[in-house]
Amino acid sequence: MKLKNYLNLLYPLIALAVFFAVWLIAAEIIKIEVILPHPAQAFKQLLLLVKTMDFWTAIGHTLLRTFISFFISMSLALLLAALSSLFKPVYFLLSPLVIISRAVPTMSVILLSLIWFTSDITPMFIAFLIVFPMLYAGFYSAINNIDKDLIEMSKLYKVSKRIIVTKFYIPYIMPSFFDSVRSAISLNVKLIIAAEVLSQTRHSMGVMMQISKQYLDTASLIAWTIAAIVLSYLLEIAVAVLKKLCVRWK
Amino acid sequence: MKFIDINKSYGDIKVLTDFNLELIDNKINCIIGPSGCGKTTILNIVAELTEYQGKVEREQKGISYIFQNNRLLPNLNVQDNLEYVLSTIEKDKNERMKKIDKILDIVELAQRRKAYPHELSGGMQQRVSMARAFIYPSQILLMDEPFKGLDIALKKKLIAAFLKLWQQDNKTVIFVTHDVDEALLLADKIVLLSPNAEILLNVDIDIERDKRSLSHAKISALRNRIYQNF
Ligand SMILES: Nc1ncnc2c1ncn2[C@@H]1O[C@H](COP(=O)(O)OP(=O)(O)O)[C@@H](O)[C@H]1O
Ligand SMILES: [Mg+2]
Repeated sequence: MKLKNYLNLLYPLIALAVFFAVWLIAAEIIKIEVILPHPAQAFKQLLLLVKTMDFWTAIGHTLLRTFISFFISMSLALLLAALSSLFKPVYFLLSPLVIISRAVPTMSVILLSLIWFTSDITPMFIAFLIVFPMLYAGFYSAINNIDKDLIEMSKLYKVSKRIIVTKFYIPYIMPSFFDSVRSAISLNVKLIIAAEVLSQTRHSMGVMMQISKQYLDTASLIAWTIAAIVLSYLLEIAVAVLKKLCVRWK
Repeated sequence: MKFIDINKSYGDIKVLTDFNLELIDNKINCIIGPSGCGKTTILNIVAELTEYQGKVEREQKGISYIFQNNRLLPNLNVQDNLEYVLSTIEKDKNERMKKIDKILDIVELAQRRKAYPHELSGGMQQRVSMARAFIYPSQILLMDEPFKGLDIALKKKLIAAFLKLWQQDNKTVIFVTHDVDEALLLADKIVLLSPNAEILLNVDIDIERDKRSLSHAKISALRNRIYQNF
């Protein structure tokens, strides 16, 4: 391993150490467990939680909601980005929708969807409303940033559409596709959890956090937060690994 | 091949004005001129990559183009970049591989066939671009400063590879450069353009290529003529 690789490993560890040091010192100064529990306390709580069935049920359901809403956002974004690159009218039709959906206050959407949907659907709907335009914009710009010179070259050599798409377009946009997905997936987790809190979704990390708060069980709340961070991080790593497997040329 | 009353502008910039020129088919036609005079534009007009007024008369079909910026696909390795332009025409995978093997030997890149463009030096990328132009079945070859930025040894090698490939099927070549000496050693016809693309000289050279050198009396006379006009 080169020095650079060691440093790449070292920096996050240092950052983590600093974070925990600050937490520890703050907890020592404040000395009120309800406001800021000791890190050890939070991890002890996490270890207790991990042994309960409720913990895994909540995580499983939240994860399932994340996957469903993300899959729908991603598929639709991909489809519509491809269509609007091919047909300008689709692009012009979609761009105001995307702008509006970005401008609408998240809270009003949450309240509205609480009226319209069950508490099970609401988190997915909200995550979709925010993640879909983000992914759509990312995919659209990836498709439209394809090097025009290379398209020209392909046409000059009379390469068939099928080969242009399979050997050039798809592999060419793959890296930016994964980059968009990677930043959207952890946002998706956060949105689902936030919406779960507000819509009181049964079997959810959001509601578990809410309950901890009601009982002033701050250590549990932080334990759940750590679980959520680890979940997002693992999802991002999974995407990064997929990218490594699919993109061998960068 | 004939250019008839070609007019071409980019917005307000007029590049070609009533441009007329006849080139020799199956020979190496060399267009030289200062940077920005419109050489690349002329190649793009032949390749139909840009809009223009007027007419290009040509009987030959199929165009290969060695672009000024190599235009290799970054996501494909050397071998796959070559196969990319071949697979639509040549359905037989074995035939494709035979052709690729042969051409990679000539441009001396057989060892690097699995390398991606970003792993190659500029000179190697130029060689891949040349290999691609020759592997594609075409009667016309456009070359935009293909030997630019190479050191002398590499340039010699690449020019030798080019001549070897060209002699196989004598494509009609339009070879654009601003290097006069390159042109003198390779061209059957030299066309010198002014900064606004007027034809200053249009000379056919009928000296055998392997008898040429810059000290050859006729060549050096022509060289002087070109430099007086440049
Ligand atoms: N796509 C373009 N848009 C606007 N101007 C261009 C474009 N391509 C070339 N030009 C202009 O046209 C002139 C001729 O360009 P070009 O044919 O590339 O010259 P050369 O290849 O001889 O250096 C230059 O002044 C250049 O700035
Ligand atoms: Mg040029």
